[in-house]
Amino acid sequence: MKIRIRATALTAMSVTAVLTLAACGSGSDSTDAASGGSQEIVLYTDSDTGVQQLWENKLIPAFEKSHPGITVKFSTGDVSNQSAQLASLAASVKQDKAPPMDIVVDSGFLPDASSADLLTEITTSNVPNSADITEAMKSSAAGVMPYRASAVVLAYDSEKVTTPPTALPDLVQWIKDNPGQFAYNDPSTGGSGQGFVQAMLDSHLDEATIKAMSTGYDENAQSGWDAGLKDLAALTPNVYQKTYPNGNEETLNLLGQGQVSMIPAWSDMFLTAKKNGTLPDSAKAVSISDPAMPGGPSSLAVPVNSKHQEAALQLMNWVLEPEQQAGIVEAISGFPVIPSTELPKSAQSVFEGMDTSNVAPFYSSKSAADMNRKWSQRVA
Amino acid sequence: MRRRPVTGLLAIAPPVIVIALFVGLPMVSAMLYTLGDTGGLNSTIGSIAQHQHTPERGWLTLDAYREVFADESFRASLVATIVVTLVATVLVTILGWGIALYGRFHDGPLSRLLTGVSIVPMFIPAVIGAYSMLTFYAPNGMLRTIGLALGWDSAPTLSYTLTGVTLGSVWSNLPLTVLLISSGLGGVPQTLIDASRDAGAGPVRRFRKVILPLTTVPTIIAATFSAIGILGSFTLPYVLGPTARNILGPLMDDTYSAFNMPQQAQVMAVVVFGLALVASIAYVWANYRSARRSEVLR
Repeated sequence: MKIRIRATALTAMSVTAVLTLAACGSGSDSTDAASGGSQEIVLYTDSDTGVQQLWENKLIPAFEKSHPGITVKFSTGDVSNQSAQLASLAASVKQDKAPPMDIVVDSGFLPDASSADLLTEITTSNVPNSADITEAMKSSAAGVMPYRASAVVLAYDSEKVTTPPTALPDLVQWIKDNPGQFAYNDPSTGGSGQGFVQAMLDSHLDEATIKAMSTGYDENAQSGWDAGLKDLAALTPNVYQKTYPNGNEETLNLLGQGQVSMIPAWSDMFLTAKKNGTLPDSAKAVSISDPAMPGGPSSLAVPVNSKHQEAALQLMNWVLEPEQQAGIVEAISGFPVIPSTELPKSAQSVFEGMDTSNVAPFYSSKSAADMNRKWSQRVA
Repeated sequence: MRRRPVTGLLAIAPPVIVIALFVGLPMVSAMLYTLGDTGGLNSTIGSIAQHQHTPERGWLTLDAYREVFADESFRASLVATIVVTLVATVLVTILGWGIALYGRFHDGPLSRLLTGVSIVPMFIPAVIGAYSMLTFYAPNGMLRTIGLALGWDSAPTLSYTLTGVTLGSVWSNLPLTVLLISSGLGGVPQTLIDASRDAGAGPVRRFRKVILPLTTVPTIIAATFSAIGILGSFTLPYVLGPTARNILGPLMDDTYSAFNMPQQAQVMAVVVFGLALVASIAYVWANYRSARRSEVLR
């Protein structure tokens, strides 16, 4: 399979290419820096199309309307290009050139960019509204500001399941009592399956270990996963077709087609599918506790070397206003990061059955990579 | 006729340069990475990867290959890849031959319809085809529904099985096979067939002694294309295949991004590359043979 080899090495080459481009292309930008009047900021995201549409069609036009003088240039990248984007950002900071973007939306490289000191620190003085962000949503990484959140919830067909389990041990029992009616996707291929697997592993770990795995990487502590992996392997005979579909969408499809009656799903994907009619009205969702299935905020950040700091920070402040937070609820069913009581009643009622205020964190990307591998070796 | 060599060299220079730069160089660099080299072009990926093997002494190491081949799930997937490739290639070649023969010797609306339908998969994107097969083969899908209607209440569920992937591979490789073998059959002179008939050869003998020898080369080319395509397939096994013991494509992708182990993923890619090389030996032989034949004819 030559294509794989090419793609791999091409990534490496594109990093080099991007570095060179970043070095050449940014020189001109630095001159018109603080020139007041109209300015253009570049907003970059590598998130899914739902999020792209949210920004491109809803948030950016509304922001430009309320902030004459600032235009926002929308740019997208492929999620597989994360390391290249991080490399070009790091290169621009190192050479003190303008960065390739002024606001980063959702990107997976933000935690790494934060620890490498590439982001402008967010305080209540430069983003006053950040004081409203609830304690549970606050980011521990400097310069990374949450603006919406989502979590893995248990989606079920209320016509077949009248009283869904709300605690993980009850869910496990339900799966065993109803063989073939539960499905979760391969954790390598989507966060919803990964969230379920992580909750199963967490049920044998203490708080401190879970926290260590979500904030860092400790290979020795991973022996604590053995019990959870064994539980998961024991579930295989009882899941749908004894197999694990690929991707978050595929389990939603199975639920929509009535082939299964219960799945772990991303809250926002579940609600959007229901709104679009790919899931029937009888589909409902609850949050699972003891331990919870994880979720997490999605964040914004401004590169420390952006020449349009003020405009970019204005945009971040504006997104935290209740009106925009309610708009995000309406458009993509994202959890608000400010207290939901500040939102209109209609926006609050969307999340019936879900706990939107407490979101347990996912494992760090390195811990999750090892979790996926061990799952694939011992459970699949 | 002899051409001046300089003009010829200039003509092939652009493709050679493009291939050397965008295919050759990355491939060499990727292979060096599998052997533990993390400098130069591999420095970025080397700084991100987990569980990477670098040589303790010397320049290169085979540790990554050792780890991959010691992994049970890789070995199972390798066997699955080889078996599915062989079975699907044989099936698609037989089917392609059947359709091409029918189209060649029975010119009528039915044969034209059959040939037309067998070409359709070429115009359906792999993702769409894979998802429709998944729905078709599901426990509540059409295959089982028809089976039930005919009184067969235990019709197999083929979604998420290697059988499903094999059938899907046959489906997606059928068009090219039919086109190549049809054009090969079209090249068999009717006079030769008629002459052998007049000489008293029955249909089987005509097929074995006249038609088959004249279409060996296109058949081998078609089979090689199918085999290499199936070896490297990703979308179909990803959507339709089982979680473990699947074709190597999805495992490579998981290893590369989800397990963050690009070195091991590239080791697997080198293995698949090796398999594709083996499959293309027959192709090179067939090309060589047809080139020689045309020289003889000239």
